[in-house]
Amino acid sequence: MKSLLLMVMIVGLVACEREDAGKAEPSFSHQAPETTKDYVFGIHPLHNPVRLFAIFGPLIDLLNNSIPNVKFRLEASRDYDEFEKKLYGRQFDFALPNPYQTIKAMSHGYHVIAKMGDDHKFKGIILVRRDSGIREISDLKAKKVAFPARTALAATLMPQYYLHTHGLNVNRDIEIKYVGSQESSILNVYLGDAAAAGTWPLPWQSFQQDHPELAQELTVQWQTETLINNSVMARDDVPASIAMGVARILDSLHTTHEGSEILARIQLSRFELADNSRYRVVEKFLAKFSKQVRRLD
Amino acid sequence: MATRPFKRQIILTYVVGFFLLISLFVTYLVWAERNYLFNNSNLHASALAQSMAVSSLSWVLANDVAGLEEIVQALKPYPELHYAMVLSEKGRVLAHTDQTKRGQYLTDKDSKTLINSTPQNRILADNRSMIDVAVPILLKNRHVGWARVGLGREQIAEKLNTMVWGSMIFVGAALCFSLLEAFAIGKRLSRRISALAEVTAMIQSGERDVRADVQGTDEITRLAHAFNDMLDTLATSENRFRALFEQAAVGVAQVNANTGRFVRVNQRFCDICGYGLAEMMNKTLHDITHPDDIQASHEHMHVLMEGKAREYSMEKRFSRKDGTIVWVHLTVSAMWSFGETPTHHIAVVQDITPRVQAQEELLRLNLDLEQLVQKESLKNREKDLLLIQQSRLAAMGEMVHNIAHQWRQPLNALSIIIANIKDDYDYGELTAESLQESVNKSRRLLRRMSTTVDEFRDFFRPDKESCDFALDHAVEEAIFIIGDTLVNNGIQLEKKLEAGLVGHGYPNQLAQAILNLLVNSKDAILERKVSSGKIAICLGKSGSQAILTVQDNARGIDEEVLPKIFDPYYTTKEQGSGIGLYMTKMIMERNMKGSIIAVNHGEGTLITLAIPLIVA
Repeated sequence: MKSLLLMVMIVGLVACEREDAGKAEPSFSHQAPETTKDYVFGIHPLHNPVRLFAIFGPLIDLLNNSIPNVKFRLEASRDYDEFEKKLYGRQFDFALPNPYQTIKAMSHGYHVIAKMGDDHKFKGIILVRRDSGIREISDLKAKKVAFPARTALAATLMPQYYLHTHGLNVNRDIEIKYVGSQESSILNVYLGDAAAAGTWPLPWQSFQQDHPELAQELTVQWQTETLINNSVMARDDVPASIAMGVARILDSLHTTHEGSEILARIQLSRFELADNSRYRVVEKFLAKFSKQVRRLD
Repeated sequence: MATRPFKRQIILTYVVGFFLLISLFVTYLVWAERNYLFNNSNLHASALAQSMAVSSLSWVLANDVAGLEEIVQALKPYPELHYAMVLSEKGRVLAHTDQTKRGQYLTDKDSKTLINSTPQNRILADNRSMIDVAVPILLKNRHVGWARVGLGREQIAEKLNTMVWGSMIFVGAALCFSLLEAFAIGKRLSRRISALAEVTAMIQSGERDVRADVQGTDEITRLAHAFNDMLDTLATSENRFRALFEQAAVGVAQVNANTGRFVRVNQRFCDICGYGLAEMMNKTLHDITHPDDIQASHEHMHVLMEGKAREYSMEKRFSRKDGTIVWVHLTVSAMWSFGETPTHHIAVVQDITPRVQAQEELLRLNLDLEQLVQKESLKNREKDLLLIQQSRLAAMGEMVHNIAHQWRQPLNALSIIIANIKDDYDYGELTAESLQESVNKSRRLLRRMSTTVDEFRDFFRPDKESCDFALDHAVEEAIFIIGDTLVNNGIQLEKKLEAGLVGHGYPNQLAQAILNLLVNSKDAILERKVSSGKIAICLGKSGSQAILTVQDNARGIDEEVLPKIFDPYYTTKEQGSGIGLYMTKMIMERNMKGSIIAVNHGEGTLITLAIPLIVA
């Protein structure tokens, strides 16, 4: 009977206990586990990160499947500043910067291996609300104009140059508002926070697809001259064989069914091989911009 | 065996039962509360991790550790948060509530298992101190990292501890209460039962007349009354048993199984052994057993003690106190059950001395009788020899008598032939032809007589050869012998014989048998002076048998006599020997394998012979 009582008490107490009490918390180490080499492929904020992955994810998958023993990892950035910080900090092995960033990255050890085709699409556009009554550039005087970032070539520099050379001193006549991304720029004008917004055709087309009812409220009021499209760059310590491999795959992308589907997502007809010399036109534009509009860092 | 007071058992049972019930109930409550709190904690951790996974997706895609840091740090004030972290798909810490962990890699076993597993919600730890939940960060189906949250359970543990202590105090209080209540119930119930127990103890100590005095209407009162009734019944039964034991016509004793010493004996046992009761108490079975029976007694007792038998019986001798021997039939039975240690035997003895003495007398008489029988047997054997001799002489005489009987007819015939020759000679009618004919007849008669001697000899000799023969020839042989006699006596003989019927046996014996029948008919006709005597003899076939009938008109045989006519030496004739019909029956049945019956029919007697036919 005594043993029965003891047993009942023990059972009662043990029933309140957890079977694996006192498990240790996770442990950490600075030592990375041995894995295959990851090549980080950074793309400038053409879209928000989620959309960027949706569009460029298959391209990275294709690279991973095509080049053995290495792994490519896509990395987005929250905004242009963050992207440039990583780019100029050499955090990317491969990068897809805009032409302005291309010029700047060259001095940080990157070189052009390919570029996006469809240069005719690389231009700046200025959106206004249909109901804003803004018809002339002068109508923008004393109003807010939204741009994605200070260094966005097609969406900021080219539209600002266009406005500046068409009678509007962008440094004085308007209030410039950098909103961080192409989509934010478009939404700023839709919401009335800005009278106009600078962007470029690629994000505008995406916005029209994703939000047709909102896009109907907006109209492209002005567009700039075209310039060279975005580049694909490799850091100077990436083995030449891998850099060339990536360039060739991009260059032949439009020749395969799978590649064509990837290009369709990007809304691009093709990639093409290129080098640094192709971007001298950008240098010229930047010099002109610095001289006439404002000085660039 | 140690006794457990009833009161103590009631208290113990009540308290233990109450304690078990309350303990189980409290344990269940604590267990249910613990499950509720733990599940709640699980839900919180899972919800936090899920929320973190969703909100950090973009930052993970952008590898924006600063953005992730903002998200993770925002969770820091959450109560009991041990850690929140965002991991890359390779297990690198992208953000952690402890910023020193950022950029490091997880190295513990569970984390490594998580990193290598398929992306789905996982519980890495679920114990008393914490819950650790990991939720995959997914972009559609693309796995880009993990959101992991570790929530402490110290408050839950503290709450549960408080609850356990509270429960234990509650159980303790309940235990005290139940103890008091059990005491009250036990005291009430045990008081009357104790009274019964006291009475039982007194009875056990020998006070057989004491009875339980319990008043009331409850079950214990009924039990006490039943107990008293049982004691009365037991007392009556014991008195009967004592009377049975003391007044039994046989000796009964209870014997210690180990010492063999008598424990209790009745008067009859003492009488048989010739000792007083007190003297018997100092004796053993061995002491009073005759020395010649000790060995057999030991063997029987050994079997009983081994448990191979429940009892044994034997006839043995006891040495009485006065030195005389008494024969007894002893039955010893075990008073213990199978498997128990032997305690006592019960021995029952019956004085069989008169029977043994009678048996000895009978034995002596048998011996005398046997000698007498032997003597008489010797005399009988001498008589037998004489009888055999007489029998041989009788058989011989019978044969001579038979031959004489059979010869009587041929001798008569010869006499007649000789008389006829003399008459023929006297009247000058004797011719050479008639003489020759008489000589031939005489020779045939003489041959017949000679044959008769042979056949009688053969009849008594069983090895005579049998043969197939024509039945009508045998009939003719018989008629030949008696034919003249019948004519001389004016008796008409009618015969109707079917030829070709063949039987198997002894033709001359059959002829003699038929002759006997014809002679009997003739004698009956002459004796009863039938004016126109007639004998009809017929032979025919019926199925597989030949039927021969001899019918006369001599007015038949008395119904009283009829059943005896085939018995040997039975005759109604003055000069008869009683052999004829007996022999006829014997010949028919033994040598011809046939049968014979005699009935009164018509004006006289009808004799029917059935003889098996030989199939051609």
